[in-house]
Amino acid sequence: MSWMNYSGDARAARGFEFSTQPFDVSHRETVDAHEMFGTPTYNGCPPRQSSTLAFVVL
Amino acid sequence: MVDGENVVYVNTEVENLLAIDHPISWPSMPPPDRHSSRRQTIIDLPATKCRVRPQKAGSTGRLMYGKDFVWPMGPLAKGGAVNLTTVPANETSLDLASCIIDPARTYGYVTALRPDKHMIFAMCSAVKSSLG
Repeated sequence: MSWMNYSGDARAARGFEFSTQPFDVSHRETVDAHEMFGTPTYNGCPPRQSSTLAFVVL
Repeated sequence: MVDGENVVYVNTEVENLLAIDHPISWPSMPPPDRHSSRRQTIIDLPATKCRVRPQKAGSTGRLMYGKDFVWPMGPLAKGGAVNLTTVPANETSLDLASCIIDPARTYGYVTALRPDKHMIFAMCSAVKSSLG
């Protein structure tokens, strides 16, 4: 996900994230979309189990 | 962090204590890159297909809402396309697009290069994480 907040001054910002859902919309809309480009737009953690995510920033 | 490295290793884990599955909305977001209009930032990522977000109330985007495109040429609402690896000077707009990282890759990344400061900022993650 890439957001481009261009304010025309020094507050302008560009941000990125790796995410389990593609857009900043409601969970219902995300589930209704089901998939985007062959990738699920939502995810879940099974009962009594764990999910992990790792990344590096440099 | 490890001594002698400028690398932050982030490992996160969530545990579902319920007897039923639970939805996850899980972004991994480093601090955004802030810049003035005079300092150009160059963005790169190994993306393939992308989509501009749906229109919302009060949206002020320059990109065509809901339109699919191939990175990095974003579709402009006024027609034509714009290279999203660069940052526009003195422009006022708010857009969001989502891309799929090339699924053939083991790792995905995003880089932000600041030529004026000779600095590069990067974020890297496995394309197929445990979230599947």
